[in-house]
Amino acid sequence: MTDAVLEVEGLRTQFPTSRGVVTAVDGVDLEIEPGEIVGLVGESGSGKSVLAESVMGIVESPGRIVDGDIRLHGDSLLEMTEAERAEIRGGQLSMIFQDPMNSLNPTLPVGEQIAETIRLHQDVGESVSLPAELKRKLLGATKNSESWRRAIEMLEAVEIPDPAGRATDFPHEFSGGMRQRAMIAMALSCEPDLLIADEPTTALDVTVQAQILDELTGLKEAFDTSILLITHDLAVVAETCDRVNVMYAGEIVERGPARELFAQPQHPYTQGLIASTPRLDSDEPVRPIEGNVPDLIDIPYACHFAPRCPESERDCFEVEPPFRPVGDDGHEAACLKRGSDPELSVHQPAEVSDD
Amino acid sequence: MSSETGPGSGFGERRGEFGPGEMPEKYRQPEATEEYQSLGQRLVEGIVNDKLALFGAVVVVLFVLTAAFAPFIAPHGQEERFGFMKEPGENSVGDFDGDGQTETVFHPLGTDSFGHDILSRLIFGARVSLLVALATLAISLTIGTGIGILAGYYGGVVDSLLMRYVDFQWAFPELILGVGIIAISGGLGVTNVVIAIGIAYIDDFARLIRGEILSIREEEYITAARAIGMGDARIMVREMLPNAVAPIIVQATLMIPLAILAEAGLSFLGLGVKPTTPTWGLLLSQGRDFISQAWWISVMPGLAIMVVVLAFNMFGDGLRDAFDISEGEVDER
Repeated sequence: MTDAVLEVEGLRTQFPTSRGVVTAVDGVDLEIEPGEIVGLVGESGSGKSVLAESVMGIVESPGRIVDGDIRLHGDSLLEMTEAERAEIRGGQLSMIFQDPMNSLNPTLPVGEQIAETIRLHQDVGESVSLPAELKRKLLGATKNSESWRRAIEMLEAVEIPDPAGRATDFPHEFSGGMRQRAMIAMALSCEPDLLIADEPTTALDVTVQAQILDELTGLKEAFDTSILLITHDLAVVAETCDRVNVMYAGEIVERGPARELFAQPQHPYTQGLIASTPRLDSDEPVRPIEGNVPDLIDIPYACHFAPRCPESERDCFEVEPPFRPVGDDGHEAACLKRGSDPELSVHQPAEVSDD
Repeated sequence: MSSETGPGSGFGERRGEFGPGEMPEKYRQPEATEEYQSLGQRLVEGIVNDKLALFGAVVVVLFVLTAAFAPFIAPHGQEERFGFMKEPGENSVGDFDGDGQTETVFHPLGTDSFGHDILSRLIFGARVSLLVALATLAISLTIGTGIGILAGYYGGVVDSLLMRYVDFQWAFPELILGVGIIAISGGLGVTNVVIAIGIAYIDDFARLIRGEILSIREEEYITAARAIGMGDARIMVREMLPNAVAPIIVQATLMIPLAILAEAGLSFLGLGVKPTTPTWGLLLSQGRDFISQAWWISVMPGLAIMVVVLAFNMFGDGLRDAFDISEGEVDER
């Protein structure tokens, strides 16, 4: 347990708005082991990105973490000073974003941006003060520096052709897939223990998507890092992840090994999510989940999915559903109607007594 | 050719000659590529294709060259005296260099009430005007940009405090504020004029930059910069400022004529530089008493101010258009 890279415990992140307090992340537990790819799946607005931002410590004001703890190698991130956290961001923890079109600074060459990250976090004997940066730029000394050399190595590692030549290019001279590769190079340049990938392939087309995912899994081995992969694309999760967490309206509703969870989804939400995904190999019609994601302001009922759940009953609105094992290898679901009795087969939902 | 296409007679005849992906020579077309232009090239092209902006740019360049090489260009020294109030195009005849001989000196723009050659005074005045304009610009740009970045980046209380001050200044007429600052700092002189006008125009920059920073801070690369552990100062200077540079340049170009006008206004009121320094505002003001007898003393500096201000404005508009186009292009890709 203690050798986990990241442990999130009872995390609650709230945003005060003029209409009330939005609880975007509502008591989430999450654990990532070394060398693991963990998926975080959920609809838009389920709080996936806020969870990631909370871990990175970059939640936009006025949002703030009100409860819970985040530990990196057992050290609480929330108790650190801002300076210590800045040291960790980009060093031990790094993140890549959804839209590669906008996540690189358009006014700096790509190589320079990677080199800067390296200068900030690794001891390559180059000053990162602003006057030093200016001097470096004016003297054109960047290209002889150690950080520049390593930036080119990183571009090579993410398979950008002619890395030395492309390093001087600006982001608009890169294609979408190349930009995402460059972002990955930047994120991995300091050999982080955990890489958070927030929908890294959503903005890319399917072929590039597959390449980027291959790249990520390959680099995970090479750099010995864990990955938290956030996505709403079930196919991506099924293909790449070791374990999966399904998130709905700020809560994690089901978690378990990827293979098992997709073969035998237990929580009604996960079942609905999988049933609503079109499949090529079956003629079954796609069944969408009825209704919409609830407004996250002051949800009064216990199970956040209850109003949309085909199986919900009175208790679902009133009793907080605990996580209960519903299968092998730590496959758990937070649903009153699942796994209540260990004797029951996991493939049959628990029947209600008066039924 | 049209009858040959489709799977009719002759279909498959060529099998073996062309593999997949091969194409007969006659169907080859040159690839359509858009040539890459650097920002500098795009700006130059934008200005050259815009006739008004080109006119503005030419006048601005002439103005700067005139100011820089005033002693070589001016036909006479700024203190040399000739015949009083000669009309434009007239000659003054007399012994002006004290060598005992009578010379004839041509005055294309006439002379003023002291007998100074107006053309020469204007040329030397361009120096003061440009100097004041650039120094003023440096002050208001530095302070205004600083205020704008801090207010836009931190938001909240910092934003409220800084922007309320800027609002206060914005609601106050620039010239009156300038007069007030000169009154407080006491005494005439170029330095005081520069400080007064510089402070009076801080608000324009602060508002512009704040708006720009507000939109830039929502960009994902700023979040990304924070995610790799950059500090606030670094994000402001390295990430945000370079992305806000286009509007700053345009505003600076539009600010220069305002500064020239403000300096002329202050000098006209007698609050500007020392009365012996030739500046356009002062020349205009000195001609005021003789406007019925010698219209050219006031009108010539007035025309000079008008042409230069107009040219800077046209140049600035052209620059703005050129920058806008380039931003649109970047977004499309």
